[in-house]
Amino acid sequence: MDLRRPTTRSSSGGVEPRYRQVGFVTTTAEPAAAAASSSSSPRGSDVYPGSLSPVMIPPPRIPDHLTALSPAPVSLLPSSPPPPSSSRLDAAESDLDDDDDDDVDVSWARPPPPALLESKEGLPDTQNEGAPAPAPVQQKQKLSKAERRAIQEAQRAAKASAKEAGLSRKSVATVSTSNAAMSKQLKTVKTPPKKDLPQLTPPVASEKKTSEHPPDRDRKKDVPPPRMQFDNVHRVEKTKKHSLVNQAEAQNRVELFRHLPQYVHGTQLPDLESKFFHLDLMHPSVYKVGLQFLSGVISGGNACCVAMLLAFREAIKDYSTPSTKTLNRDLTAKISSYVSFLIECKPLSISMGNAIRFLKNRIAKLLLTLSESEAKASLQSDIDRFINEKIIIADHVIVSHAIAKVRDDDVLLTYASSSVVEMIFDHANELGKKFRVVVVDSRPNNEGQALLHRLVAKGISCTYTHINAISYIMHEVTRVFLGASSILSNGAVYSSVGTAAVAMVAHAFGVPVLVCCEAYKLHERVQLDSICSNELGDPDVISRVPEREDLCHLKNCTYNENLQLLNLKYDTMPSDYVSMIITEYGMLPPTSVPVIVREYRREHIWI
Amino acid sequence: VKFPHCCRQHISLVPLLLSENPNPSPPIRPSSAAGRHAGRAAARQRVRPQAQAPQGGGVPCRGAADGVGEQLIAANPIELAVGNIVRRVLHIIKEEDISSTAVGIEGLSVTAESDDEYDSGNDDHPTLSAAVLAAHARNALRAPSLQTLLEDIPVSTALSRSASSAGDSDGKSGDKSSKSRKLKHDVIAAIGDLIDEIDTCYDQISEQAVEHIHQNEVILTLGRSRTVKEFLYAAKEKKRSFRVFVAEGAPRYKGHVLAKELVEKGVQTTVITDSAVFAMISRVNMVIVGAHAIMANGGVIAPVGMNMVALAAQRHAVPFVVVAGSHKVDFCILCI
Repeated sequence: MDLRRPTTRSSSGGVEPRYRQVGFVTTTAEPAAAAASSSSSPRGSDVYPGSLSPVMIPPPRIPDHLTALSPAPVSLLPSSPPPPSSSRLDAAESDLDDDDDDDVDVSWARPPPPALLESKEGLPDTQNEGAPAPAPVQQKQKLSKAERRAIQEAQRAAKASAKEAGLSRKSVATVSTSNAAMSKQLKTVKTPPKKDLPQLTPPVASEKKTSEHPPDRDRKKDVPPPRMQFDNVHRVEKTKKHSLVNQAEAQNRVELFRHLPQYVHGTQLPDLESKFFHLDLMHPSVYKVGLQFLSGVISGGNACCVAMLLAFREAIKDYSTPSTKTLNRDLTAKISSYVSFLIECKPLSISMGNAIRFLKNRIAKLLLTLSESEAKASLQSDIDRFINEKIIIADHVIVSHAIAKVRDDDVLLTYASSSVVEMIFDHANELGKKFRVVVVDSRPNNEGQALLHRLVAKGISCTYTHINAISYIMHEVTRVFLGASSILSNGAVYSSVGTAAVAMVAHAFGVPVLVCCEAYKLHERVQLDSICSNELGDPDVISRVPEREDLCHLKNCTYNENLQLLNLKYDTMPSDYVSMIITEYGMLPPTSVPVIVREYRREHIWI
Repeated sequence: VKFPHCCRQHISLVPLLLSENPNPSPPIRPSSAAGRHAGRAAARQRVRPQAQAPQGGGVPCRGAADGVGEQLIAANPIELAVGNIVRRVLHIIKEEDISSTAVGIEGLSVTAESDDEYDSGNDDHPTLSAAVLAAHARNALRAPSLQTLLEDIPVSTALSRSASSAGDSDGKSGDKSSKSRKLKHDVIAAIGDLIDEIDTCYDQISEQAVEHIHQNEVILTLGRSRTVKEFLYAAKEKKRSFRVFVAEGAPRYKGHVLAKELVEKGVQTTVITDSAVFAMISRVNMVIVGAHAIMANGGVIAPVGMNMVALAAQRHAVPFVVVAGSHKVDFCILCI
């Protein structure tokens, strides 16, 4: 993996290797001494190009070398922070891979003069402007094959990583030699980077590398990045090194969910509280939101997303750019570290992931000519506008659409608790419609109880039941309103566990099922079952039955190796159970979800 | 005079049976085990005669059983198995009564007996189809009675000799007391057989466990059922390595009890909430559940939540197996 990164970086941008080599050349002696003290593999890979590059330097470069030597002592001081941020980027697995490369380049390109930085920044902007334009066209052409290609490229990536792991030192020297050769030719020819690549690949890269580069680019654009699989031991250990939260593996893990994180609950919160006064990298507002996620004070897709965005807004307000960095790169790295911390506290929902992607996109699009205060004000207004338009106003539009489906003498059924469904009931009640609400609930969260209290307080006639009795109550139900945590490209609804069972019984009884979901929760991923992606809660909650101690039969059996307790948080509802999806773009059949995803993405880019 | 009384008591069972049809579940495929037992029990039940034998000796016993049966059924209308057992006990009493009547008759030829029964059948039931059914029932019952009659001829001869030697009045009273004592003994023995049959139904069902559970099977069950527990125990004892997902079955949480029992036996068990059934059923090979009662049309009365599990299993093409003893097979639909 580490050895593969230099190749990926060089392939992503043609101009970057030139400046990276310059950075290596100027800091050959002193970074080598620093690398000798530390034994991390990324620095080990850096030593080899540095040691070889002096041989490749042509004689005319000597004056530049002398000029670069003078700022070397100053650059040593800021070089200490970048390694944690870059490694944290790896842990964060940010959605935008380009940001990863840019951040790493920034750290290495620090020694060059500011003029080179400005000229270098101009070219990535050109690339960024060009990249979105062909995306819709390509996406339309490849929609049917996207899933197949994702599988193939995942296999290729696995093979490539296996091969690169097995490379010997000679292979490393070969890679560094090829990098040096590329940089040498780049210095000679000064044409645009896209035109350079075809000329460089035949003489330098092997056939395998030639076949690898185009798929990587296509994969980054069209396919969402694969999520972290927790049955990969190396990846998990790597993540643990840089995490603030102390996570202990659960003793009795369910084998079917080895790819999801299964930690012992209850130990993280006291540990984080004790660390509160030793904050060095984490903003207090982000830290507070993380604690709230851990304790369960904030729950629900919209509430978590709003809390996270408000925390980021506070962090951006208090942010100041270091003198040797640019705001775009450093702020993106900061946001990534915040995101990795929040992931440790609570797995990200898809709505939060979309919001983070939006924020990083806005940061990347900031104009370089803006001052720091102007950039920060622009970002804060973007966050406010996102919260207002995509969540608050979207909910109001959804309610106005859904009200048309509520009539007098209706019996409306909902499962657990959804904020937008509650708004529908409240608004229908305000309009004077006479209807009855059936609240279906399930253990262990019993979210429907709080919803029941709120509805009864407003004077709505309610019936409360457990999900087991859904077959008996469905006879008298006329409509089913369900919220959703996400809606996927194949029309599958990803929502609280039990939602699929409710929709299934409603479908069997011929009752229409209406799913209310904001457009920012739609995602281009496809999911066929409830197991490949899910979230596991505290398993000990299942063995406890509150207020009925006589029913705690599993109290002493929790750590038996034959017994596992499985507390699922989400499930996936097939699209044929859904009668209608209500979003702020209107009322849709499940087959229209890819259209909304495509339109949302276009609008997303324009904003 | 006693005849109408018996008929009235018999008819009074029907309204109670009708009231015992609360919310039957949609038709669910029963297991081969339950089907086999149901077929056997149905065949046995079909032999039940409609006509009442005009004997004074059996009437008090049958009346008492009717009264107790009605009380048991009224106490808990949902417990359909109780009604099944009551009807089987009544059937046992009637069967023993008829056989003792056949033994008691002396000097009558086979042809004469059948003619007399047929005539009385016509008188009791004006409807021709009912009479035909009754005649068929009696003909089917006749074969064991004939064997009994042939075997017991020397015994009856000895009885008659002792009666004539002792005197008319003393002989008659002796005959009556010995006959009723024999009837009671036979009824008690038959009820003992019935109890043994109910007790061994678990073992008989469990013997088929290895035919349905293969290696690395994933089984889902809801709540707790002793039949399911014995079924899984038998598979475990045959060294089948399988895992069980137990839905907890709120609000009684019997799934926790079953999970504890399975863990003590060494079965790999995972407890899930009832809401997670749909999420997990895509990875389940088979659903095995117990039943409260099985109706004649294949419907199953089961703990709350079973309908949702059945719909999920049907959606994912997962076999849905209901294990139950034959005493839980109810004939309300057939009686109606």
